[in-house]
Formats: sequence, C-alpha cells, structure tokens
Amino acid sequence: MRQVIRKPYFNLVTFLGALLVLSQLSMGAAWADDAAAIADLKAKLAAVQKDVAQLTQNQGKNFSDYGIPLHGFADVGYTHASNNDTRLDQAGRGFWANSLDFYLTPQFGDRGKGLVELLFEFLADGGLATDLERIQFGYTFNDQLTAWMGRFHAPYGYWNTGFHHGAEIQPSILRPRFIDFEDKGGVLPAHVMGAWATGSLPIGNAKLLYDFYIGNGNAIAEVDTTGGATHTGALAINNSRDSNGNKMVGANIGYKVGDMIIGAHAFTERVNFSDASATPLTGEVSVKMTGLYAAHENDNWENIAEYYHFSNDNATAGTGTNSSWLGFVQVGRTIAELWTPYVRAEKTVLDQDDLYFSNQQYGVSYTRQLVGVRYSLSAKSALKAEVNRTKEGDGTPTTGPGNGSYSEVRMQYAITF
Amino acid sequence: MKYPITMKTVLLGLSLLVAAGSVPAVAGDVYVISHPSVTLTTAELRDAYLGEKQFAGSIKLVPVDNAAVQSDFLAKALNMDAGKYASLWIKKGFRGGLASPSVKLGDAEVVSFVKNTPGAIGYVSAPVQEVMLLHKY
Repeated sequence: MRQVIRKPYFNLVTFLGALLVLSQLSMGAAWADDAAAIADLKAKLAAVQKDVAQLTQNQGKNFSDYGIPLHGFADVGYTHASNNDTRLDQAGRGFWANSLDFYLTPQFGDRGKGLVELLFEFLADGGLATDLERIQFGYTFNDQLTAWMGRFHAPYGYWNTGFHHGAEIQPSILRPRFIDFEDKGGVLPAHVMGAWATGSLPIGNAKLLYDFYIGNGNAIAEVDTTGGATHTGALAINNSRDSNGNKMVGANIGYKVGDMIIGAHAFTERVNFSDASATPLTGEVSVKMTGLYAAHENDNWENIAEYYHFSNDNATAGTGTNSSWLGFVQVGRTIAELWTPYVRAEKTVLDQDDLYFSNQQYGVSYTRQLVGVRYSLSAKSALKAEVNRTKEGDGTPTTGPGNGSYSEVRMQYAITF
Repeated sequence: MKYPITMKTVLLGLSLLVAAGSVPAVAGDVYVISHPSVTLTTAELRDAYLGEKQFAGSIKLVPVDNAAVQSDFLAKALNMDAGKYASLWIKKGFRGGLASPSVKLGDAEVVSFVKNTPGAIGYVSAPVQEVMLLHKY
C-alpha cells in the first residue's frame, strides 16, 4: 500500500510564493505612492520653473517708465557774524536750515527728457518760500545737440550751472556773492526763462562745449527811488512774460581737454525797472556782459576762476557807457580723499552811475576773502567750515549795503539723496 | 618607443579635456556685453558709462550696472570707486538731466536685460553666448 505522504498545507515554497505575492502587492502600493509623489514633484518643479522664467523675464525689462527717482539736496548750519545786522547775504548769528531742493529727471522715450527742480527755503523773516527753480523739457537730437525750453540755470561761467542749489556738491558754503541767487545778493541773472541749445563737439582728444540761449529779458523790480535812494531793487526773471518785450540773448563756448575747461561767455539784454507795485519806471539799461572762465577739476584739485565785464548803456538818457567788472578765483586741494581745504578771493568794481547796478540792492563794489575746509563724510554728505571777510565800498560803516565790512564764521552740513 | 595607453592616462587626458572646455573665469574678470544693435570702442564704452555718450549712431545707449561686479568694473574700466561714480552721476543728473544707469542684481538679470533691450550695454562676471561681447577687462 502506497503511503500517501501529505504535504503540509503551508510548505516552504507555498510560503515563499505567498510572500512574493504579498510583497508584489505591497510594492505595487508603494509604486503607486511613488508615482503620485513624482507627479506632485513634477507639478511643483513646473511651477518653480514658471516662477523663475517670469522673474528672469521681468528682471530683463526696463522699468524706467514705472516711476522716477526723486533726488535732492539739503543743508543746515550755523553762522556767527561780526555784526548781527540783516544783510541779505549773511545770516547774522545763529542756526539755519538753508534749503531743501528736490529734482526729478524724467525721460520721455529715447530722446525726450526733463528736469524739474522744486526748492523750499526759509526767508530772512523765517517764512517758508517755495520756488520752482527749474522746469525745462528737452529733446536730444544726438550727442552734439540737446534743445531745452522752460526755466533753466543761466549757462554762463562754470559755477552757476555746475553747483547752483547743489550744496553738497558745491565746494564751499557760500557761492561767490555776485553770482548768488537773485534774491540773495546776486547781480547777474541766475536763471533764464526761454530756450537753450547745448552740446559738445569732439576735437581730437578735446571737446568744444557750447550753449546758445534766448529768454525773457530781466527787469529790476521793487525799485524805490524816493528821496534819491539807490540800491533798493532786485533782479526779476520775468517768469510769466517779458516785461519790456526785449529778449536776453547769450552764448557760452568752452574748450575741454582732460580735466581742464577754459571758456568765454556773453549775454546782452535791455533791463527795465518797476516799483513795489510793479508799475514801470522811467529808464532802461542796455546790458552787455562778456567774460572768461576756467575750471580745473579732478580727484585732487578743484580750481575755478571767472571774470565778467559789463559795458552798459543808459538807453533812455543816452548818458554813455558805464563799465564794471566782477571776478573770483577759488583754489581747492583734496587730501586723502576726505579733506578739501580751499581759499577764494572775490572782487567787484561796479560803476555806481550805471542804473543796472545802482538800482540793485547789492549792486555795490565789494571785496571778499574766504578760507574754508570741506570734509567728506560719505559720497553723499559733507561737513564744511569757512571764514570770510567782506568789505563793501570803502569799508566805512553805513546802514544797509554800500559801505561797511564784516566777518563771518560758517559751518554747514550738506547732504544729497 | 611606444607609450602604453593605460586607463590612468586616459582618465588624465579626459580630465584635462574637460578642464580645458570649461575654463572658469579668473576672479575679477569683467565681460562687457551689449545688445547686437550696439558696437562701441573701449573709449566710447567709457564715455557711455560716464554720461558723455548717449547714442551709437541712431540707437540710444542704455548702460546698466551689475551690483555683483560693479566695483571690479569701475576699477578696471573707469578707474574710479563706487563713491566717485555715484558723485559723478549726481552731478550729471543735476546738471544735464541725465538718468544714471539702472542697477541690476546679478549676471542673469543683466544678460536678460541686455538681450531684450536695443541699445543696452552691461557687464557680467563670466562670458555668455546669448549677447555680444564688447570687451573683457
């Protein structure tokens, strides 16, 4: 009788087979999980790739049309004068905030451009004044020609267009007095309302710089000749109209080679007068200015010299030509990229028979010596300290401008942003 | 005499080939790149970054700075530091109404901008194929 040997129900092979089946089932589940995870990762990777592509694409775009950077200058300081009078060009004794100057440089496409400058400043009586310093819009034809229209800085010499209200970039605290702003003692127009062509032409390694401009002729406003008084008015730019219909015409030609610019400048206009109520006064002066300037600016030196000669005719009375001259020389030397000591000498010899000067409050002859030092706190801020000695006329003290002398010590903290 | 070609020799040769094919930029190298519409000499390139040159023919130049390599570029191409460069553009903007070059964060941003902007000039830390190489400092 054959012995039937019963195999166990769960022998080894069956067990391994069952195990294999189970593991396959398990792996199948795991593979399913992995596939889901991979699909999830793919989706996330696609989203990241999309984000990166968008970021890169947007980074490559020009966002200049989406907003305009706002820049500006501001300065505060302290003055101690030898006398505490109310002369316009000195602050007496005490602390002051000079000005807060904002400017924008909007670009209109490839060739259109603008320059808008808004100034806030405290007046001598403590009131706050607002001045639309510049509003000029231009078109650049090429590297040789840009045409502007509006109110712009009068392009004579180097200082007026080089620094103007930019206290932080200006090497000294005070501007040369005779080219100070019209309401602060300057006797030349610091601004022009008109049209201006400017550019440069290459000449070998040098450049010929040029400016040609035409604008509303200036007036001298708020003249009060009561009792034979003189030096009562101030230059007016004629921002909204030309009060005598005569245009100011000027030119400035410079030759720039390396760090050096030498140039010649000139303008002519007929200046009329009005009293405090803007009533025209009798008299008109034909003004002719010619002059020379030179500037040398590099990492170590900042030297500037300017000369102006006036040959003016009393156009109404026909009393002949009056000659006057004004000039300054400033030398500055930067040491260790931080300290810039500087000295300046100013002198004017103004013919007091010339109505152009005798009707201006500060149209008096003067000399000024000035010494100071500028310390660069950073690329955008500077501390300055300077001492000046000013003598008007023959130095004999009188009330108001004309004669007298005084000294000042000034400190300034100037910033740009 | 025959030199046996061993596995070691093959690996060494391969390593050299790979290294030669991907020579990394020497630290501090600056590559000035431009949109294909722009060709400038090094003097013109300098003038463009100093605000002295605004056009290449009829094309308006659009220089951009690269924050990642700006100091190297300023030192090598313009011979100045960041402080003087900032001062110069403050004066340029204030005096002439010029807008200073916009600042990009790194190579990728500069390359993307230059590639997509006619008249654009930029600089990067490594050579790139997608734009024109104007000069290497």
